[in-house]
Amino acid sequence: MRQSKRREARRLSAARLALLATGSLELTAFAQSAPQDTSAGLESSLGDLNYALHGFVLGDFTTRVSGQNPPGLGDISFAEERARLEVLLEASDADAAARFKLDAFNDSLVNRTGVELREAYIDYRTGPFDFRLGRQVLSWGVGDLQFVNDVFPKDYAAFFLGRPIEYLKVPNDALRTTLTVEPLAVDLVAIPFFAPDGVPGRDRFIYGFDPFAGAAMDMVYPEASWENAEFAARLRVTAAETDFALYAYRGYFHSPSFVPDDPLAPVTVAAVFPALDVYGASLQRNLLGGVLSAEAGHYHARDNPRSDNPWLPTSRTKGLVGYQSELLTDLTIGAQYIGQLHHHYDAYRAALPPGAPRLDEYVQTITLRANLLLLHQTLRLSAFAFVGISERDLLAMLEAEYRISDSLSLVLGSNIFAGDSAYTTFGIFRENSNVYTWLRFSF
Amino acid sequence: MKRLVTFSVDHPWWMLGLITLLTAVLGSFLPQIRLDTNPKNMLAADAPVRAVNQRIEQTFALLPDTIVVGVVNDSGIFSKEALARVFALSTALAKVEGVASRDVVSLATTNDAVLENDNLEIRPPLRGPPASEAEVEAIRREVMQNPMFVGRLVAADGTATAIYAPLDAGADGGAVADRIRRVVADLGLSIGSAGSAAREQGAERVYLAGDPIVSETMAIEVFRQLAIFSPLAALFMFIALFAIFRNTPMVVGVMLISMISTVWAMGLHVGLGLTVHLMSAMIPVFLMAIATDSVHIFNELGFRLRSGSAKREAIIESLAVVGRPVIFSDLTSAAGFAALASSSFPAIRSFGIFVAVGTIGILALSFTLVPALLSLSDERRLQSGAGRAEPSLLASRVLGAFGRFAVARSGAIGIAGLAVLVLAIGGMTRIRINNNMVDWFAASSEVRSADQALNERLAGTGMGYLAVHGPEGTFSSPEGLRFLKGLAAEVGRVPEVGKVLSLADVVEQTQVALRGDESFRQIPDSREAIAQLLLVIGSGSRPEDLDNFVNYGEASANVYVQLETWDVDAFRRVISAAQTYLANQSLSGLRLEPAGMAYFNLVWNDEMLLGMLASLGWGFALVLLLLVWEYRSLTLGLIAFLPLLATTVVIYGVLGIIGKDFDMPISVLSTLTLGLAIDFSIHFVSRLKLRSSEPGSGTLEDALRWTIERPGLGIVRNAVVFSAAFVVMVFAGFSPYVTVGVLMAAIMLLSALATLLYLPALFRIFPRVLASKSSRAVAVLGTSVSCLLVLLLPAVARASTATSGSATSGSATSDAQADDIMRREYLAYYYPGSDFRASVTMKLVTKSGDVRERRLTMLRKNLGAPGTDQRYLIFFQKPDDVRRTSFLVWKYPNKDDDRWLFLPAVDLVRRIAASDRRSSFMGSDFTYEDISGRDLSSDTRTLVKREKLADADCFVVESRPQGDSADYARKLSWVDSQTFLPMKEEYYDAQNQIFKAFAGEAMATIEGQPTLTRRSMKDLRTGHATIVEMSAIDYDVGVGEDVFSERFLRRPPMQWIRE
Repeated sequence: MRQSKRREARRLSAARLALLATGSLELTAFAQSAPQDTSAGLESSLGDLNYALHGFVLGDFTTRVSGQNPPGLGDISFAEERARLEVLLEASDADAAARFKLDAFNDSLVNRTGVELREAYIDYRTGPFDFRLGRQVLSWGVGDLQFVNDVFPKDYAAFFLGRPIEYLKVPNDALRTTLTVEPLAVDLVAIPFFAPDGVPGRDRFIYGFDPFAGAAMDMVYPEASWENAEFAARLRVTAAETDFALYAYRGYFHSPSFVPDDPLAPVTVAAVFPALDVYGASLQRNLLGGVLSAEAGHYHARDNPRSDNPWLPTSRTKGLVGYQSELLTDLTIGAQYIGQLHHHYDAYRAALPPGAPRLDEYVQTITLRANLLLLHQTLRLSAFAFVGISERDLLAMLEAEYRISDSLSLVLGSNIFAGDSAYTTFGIFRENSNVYTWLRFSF
Repeated sequence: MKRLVTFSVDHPWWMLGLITLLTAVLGSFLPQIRLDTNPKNMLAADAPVRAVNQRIEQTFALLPDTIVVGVVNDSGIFSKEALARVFALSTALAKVEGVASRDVVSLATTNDAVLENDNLEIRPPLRGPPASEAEVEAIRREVMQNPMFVGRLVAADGTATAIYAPLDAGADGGAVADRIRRVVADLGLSIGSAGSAAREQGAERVYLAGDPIVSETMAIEVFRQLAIFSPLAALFMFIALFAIFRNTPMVVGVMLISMISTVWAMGLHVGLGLTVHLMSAMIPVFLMAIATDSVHIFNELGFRLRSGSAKREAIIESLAVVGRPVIFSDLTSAAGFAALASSSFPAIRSFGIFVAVGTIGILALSFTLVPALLSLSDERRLQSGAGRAEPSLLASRVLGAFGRFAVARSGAIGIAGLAVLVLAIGGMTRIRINNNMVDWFAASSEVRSADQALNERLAGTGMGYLAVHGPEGTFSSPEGLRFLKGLAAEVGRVPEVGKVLSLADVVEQTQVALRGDESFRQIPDSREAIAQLLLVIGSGSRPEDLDNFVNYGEASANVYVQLETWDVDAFRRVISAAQTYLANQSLSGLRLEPAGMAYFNLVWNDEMLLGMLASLGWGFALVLLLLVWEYRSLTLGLIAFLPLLATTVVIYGVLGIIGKDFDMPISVLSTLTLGLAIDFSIHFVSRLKLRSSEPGSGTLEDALRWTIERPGLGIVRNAVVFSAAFVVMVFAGFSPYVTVGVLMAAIMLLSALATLLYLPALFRIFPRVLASKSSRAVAVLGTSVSCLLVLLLPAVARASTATSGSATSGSATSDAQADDIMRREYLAYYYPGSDFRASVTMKLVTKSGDVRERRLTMLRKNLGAPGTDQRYLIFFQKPDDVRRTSFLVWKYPNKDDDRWLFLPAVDLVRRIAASDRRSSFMGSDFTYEDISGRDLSSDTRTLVKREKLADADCFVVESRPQGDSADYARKLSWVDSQTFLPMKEEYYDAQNQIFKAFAGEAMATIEGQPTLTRRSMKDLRTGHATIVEMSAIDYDVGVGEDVFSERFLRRPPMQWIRE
């Protein structure tokens, strides 16, 4: 019964994608033939207020190619149509603006239709201060798809499904204040409402290792109170041709830790978000024609200071060194080395229940990137790989994007997971290698 | 992987169909193959040495490619008949299509000044077939007393004369040579060594030599011998395979793997539109060598079938056991070859990349084609073949004994190995890096005999130039001429130099002729006397005779150096002798610039060889890194690396000891160790590791003996099969192929020996390496260091090519007026106002008329005086997927920009690499350099002319890039003499074809600043064009420096830019 429903969803979704494709092609043809440029959104003014209207229509489709499926499900892991409306309002007499990004979506896989407010904020600039209040995306740090001091929430499910990269970031409801006194700048971010990471769900992903499969899950988010608010700060300075930054963060791990009520026969498992402090620094500069990046951060697990609670993450120090260079015209390559050292390792080992998978004390990862632009940069081929040296696992992401016209893009890609063991970062997903495609018409 | 194997075993026809389809698709590209047989073209079209040569040739009216036609008669060429034939030949040559007729140099065309009846006559010595013996004698006397002729045009003993036939630009050397051969035959003369009959008759023999002949013959020879010997080697290989295994499916398998992988690699090579150079022509041979890796699979299958396993299971299990080392060794080889991509030579890059591609193909085929074939083949056939693998075989018994010996005598072997290494390293220090393309041919070949015949009699077939630049009038002064004379004498001391000629010789010879007295063979004492002589020479019928030696204005002089050898080292000594002489000179302000074919060959040699060595080094580093990684141990990685290192060191050591030059073929071939030596040692170490971890495998010694006997047999078979096959190449008539044969066999045998003898010894000496992981700290350190190496690889490779590029490029002279015009253009175009704001629309138009549009707003501020640091802030508005993306540039005139990009979708500011200023700006035909200005010191310029262009009076300036800093060989700019804005620019490639054109299409004066409001750039090769229009232009708006920062990058300054 359920099977057939899935199959139907899949057929429907494929049909919709085709419809969307033809629709967008027609729209583009219309846009190109029309004398006035109709594809550039709508920009005008209303009294003292300038406004602009933009958006896109997106069809997105991902299918597993491992031949393995979650019990009772087919190999489609994502099938969605999505429409975005973006509104910008600017005051013409003050340095203030407001922006809204609202998505409406229809997720054919779980048969859910809904709206999602991606961004809604007010910008205000006065003297050396910039304020941004509302729902916004927050990022910093110098890693390439590797995050050390950027502990803001991320949606790894979206990332692993090959959705557009902007969906990797989960927006926060926050106030960001920036004080700039060149060459110094200080950012202060207050996040009163906790937003967790998007964790790959069991309806879309097969877990190679799932110890609490049968147990009931009880999500325990930090309460929205002033004491529980997250704070992040950054001090940035450019000196000696180098961008330096210091970071600090007080808040929580955004990915849940699972604490069973009974380790041997769990009935309920609490998904908790332990307290976390992060201190770190980064630098980035030109070197030999490329860009050198280095970043380090210390994660202090406040709820597990001596690393003796096996259910909670331990304190650790994470560092990365990366180099990116345009090797040939329109071919950029990059590599990063990431090392992560777990503190109080002996205590962690001692506390670990027998038979439980154990993290290495020092975890090493390499990432490699190659980006190639062709046909006057309308065709982008990119390859990115996370290679776990210590964990012996791999995530390779291959993607080709073709801009059929200025407003229509087609993407084909694949995420390939591999690992010796099912207990590692990517090894746990080794049955989830997928191919995906999406088509976007923007206006 | 197991699934793939199982699938192939269960559905063999499906798999074969799939492979056939892929092969057919890739193979369909092959007919489009574009061959470039000229080894010279392996050097990039924009290599600095090409620009230097082109400039020198232009300055001195020289023609680059010259065929030397030597006429030899052992009884002397000074006879009526012989001179008549020389005259006829010279006249006929001038008429040959493709020969620059006016520039043919011979006794019949080169002017000589003689005093006849007190009249100064300037005419060639041979003006027609001599009528009498007296005339012959007069000619002989005249020619032999003129040092301009002796050695260059006639042999000192009078047995030979040379005719130099320069080729027209773009003429095909091979075709011209064929036409010359026909002309020679029509005159009844015989060519080269075939003339033994003619020798008896006392007739002349004609030899063809010179660079076009060598390049052309080489190209033909390389492919001809490749076509003969690589199939022959393949045949031998398969015969040897069959002899050992008696197993048809297997022989067919290996053969198919090598052929299919070759089709894949070459198909992709051709399909991507890359020209196949000499190097890539070697890809099939390399892939054949690497394909033998699959012998290990058959070897293992043999053992398994013999022990009674069912076929299907035996196949799957064999691949499961051998799988890992096969995967790993093929990947390692592929990575090693891919490291050659760090080379700055396009030819080496494609070679490395496509050998790597082919290797990956071999890997894929090992797990698909092999199991499919095996499952299709008759079980009894496989059984009978497998029977041959019994350990009672002689080979197995010998290996058993060998294993016992290697294990028992590990100490002695270790010490002996160390001694061999030390000896080899000693030998390596004596290696001479040199290249001599003529020596590549067999001693009896036409090229070599011609070269030898001419070098014996004349001053040599190798030609180089030493250009000397000084202030105007330098070389019409006595000091200048004395300098040239001294330089010539100094250079002449280099043993391989046959003849040196300079303006000093020309002037002296003319003075002697004028005075009719040999005692006047000296430099005149005054400028006036020199000026008079120069006037006399210039008034002859061929002013080029003077132009070849000195430019107009006497600021630059050219010294001809003729070399009796093609050793590139000889010209290196010439340059160093000249430089030493220059350094010890009182005359100041002189600059030396080597050029000509000999210099080209020198640069070609150095860049190819050293580049190859550097890339090979990177290959080694990468392989070591992979080994350390795979084995999770620094020590084990190093041990497994040893056979590769030892094989290479021993081969290089032997070269050093026997005194063979380290040349191009050797450097290419030594990369093969990446594919072979590493394969053996990975199989050995991986199988040993697996064996010793199996329960009941006994002691380390037992495991070692087992490994030597069982996987060792595969290694030995692989080595024997392959060296047997390639030994045939020793019989090739072209030394690079002899080198291939000998080296292949040597690499195979040495690496097999190193693997089977030294690895056991090392494991006995360091027994704990295998069992325990090496300490964590060491592994971490090892991997980290190796990772860093890999991270820095592209940077260092780039830096090293950059420095080597600048080291070989001579800095050229630039014309001060042209420099000034282009400086003013630079300021008028890129720096007007103290700041600037504009809305920019960029239309990208394809050949078929499709339009894409980019819209952006730009802010610029000059920080200091015009021409110094600038800041740019650019906000994109269209297309929609880049809307709100913004771009900040801090531009510095003399170093890489700082560039930051803001990506609004993820709210992130990132620095981006800025070294390649030639990359396209937003996919348009404009480069970053076109947008923000090209560093003035990157070009040298000359003012060509003044010209009216649409009513504007324009300077036309030619710019030539220094080094390889641009994708054009030269650029012509039409600069408005009023506004100093560029009205038109044309970009030319190395073949002097225009490929890109800029036009300033609309100009307006805005707030007092002349501004191009519309400009276009058209790519003439693709028909793609970009039109840029600017509106809402404002100068001096008062934007602050603080706007050019991350703050405003994230959110535009609303005062100037609305989203």
